[in-house]
Amino acid sequence: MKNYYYILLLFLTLSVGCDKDDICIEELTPNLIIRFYDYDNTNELKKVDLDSVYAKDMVAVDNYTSISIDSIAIPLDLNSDFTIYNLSSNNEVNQLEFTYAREEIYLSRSCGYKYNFEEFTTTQNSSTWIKDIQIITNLINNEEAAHIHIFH
Amino acid sequence: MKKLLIFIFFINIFSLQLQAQEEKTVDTVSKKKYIALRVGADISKPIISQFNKDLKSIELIGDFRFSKNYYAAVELGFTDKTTSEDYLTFTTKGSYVKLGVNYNAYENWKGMNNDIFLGMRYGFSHFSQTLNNYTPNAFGTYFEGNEIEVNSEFKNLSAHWLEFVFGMKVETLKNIFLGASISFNQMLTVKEPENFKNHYVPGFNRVFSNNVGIGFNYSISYLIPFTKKAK
Repeated sequence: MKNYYYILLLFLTLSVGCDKDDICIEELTPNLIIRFYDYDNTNELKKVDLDSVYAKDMVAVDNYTSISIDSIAIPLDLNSDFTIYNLSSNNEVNQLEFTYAREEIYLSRSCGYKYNFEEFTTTQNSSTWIKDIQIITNLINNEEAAHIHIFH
Repeated sequence: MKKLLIFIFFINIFSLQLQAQEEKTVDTVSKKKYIALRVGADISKPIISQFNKDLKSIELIGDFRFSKNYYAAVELGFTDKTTSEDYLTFTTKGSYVKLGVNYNAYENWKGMNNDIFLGMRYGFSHFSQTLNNYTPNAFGTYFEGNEIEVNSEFKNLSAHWLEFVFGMKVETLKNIFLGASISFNQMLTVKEPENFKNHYVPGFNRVFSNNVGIGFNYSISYLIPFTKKAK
């Protein structure tokens, strides 16, 4: 009879719950991907000498300070339907305003929800070194290709 | 996995029928002495509910011995559980029923009345899922999402599953049994909420990513002495 109590006790100790086993490996909220093209030859990528890239009233985005680059990926504000970015090149600041609708997409237990950005549009609040902007897609739901092209 | 469980389930039922056929040749007097009804409740769930404000649950159990080694078993329960994950919080509320059989593999000595059993259950739950809040998830920390209160309730969800149960019941006082069991659950079908997922189902417990689950049960039950033992 005593043996039963031991086995019962073993069962009781086994009841310690299972821990979280999921790790988040899904694609999260996509960044905005911008590619820079030559204004005179619109099929040619053209590097831009960026001093810094920063959202209004915020610090500069990592990786894009004092760099010559032909494409950037920048995050959009998750708590607002618009994001204002300043793109500074050779001490000339060009301000862009991105507006969008946020659509929540369920991913998994560990990732929760991400956003897709719909009805995406861009307006130039100031125009210095950027000569033209072309929106490639109104729906930002992945980071596989450029969402807008900037000509300079 | 699912096919295997269904296979085992049918084997169980098949062997049950064989058993029933064998029984026919046995005289009714000796058959009658096996008939017994036990009712009880899970004792761990109300205790856990006392200490964990995010979990309220209750479960009633019963089994009916209809032959030497076989019991028809039933569990009825209700669960109200709030689960917090890194980027969301949800509340699951609903009731469930489990029906099945236990096979007692333990050969009792004369006068003893204990079980070490294997069993199968079919489980069904009707429940609602409330997404309380979520925090939109993005790479990096440049823009971090604020927590958003949603409180949207997904009603009339349901789930069907199979359980493979292993456990024991020990008669500690006359007609009073203490039991413990572990169940391995395999989801069959589940009605999912839109743009969300059932990560917890009453009775099934946490739904792991491969649609399996695990359950524990600690019970106290009382054997109702409603039939006179035939000598």
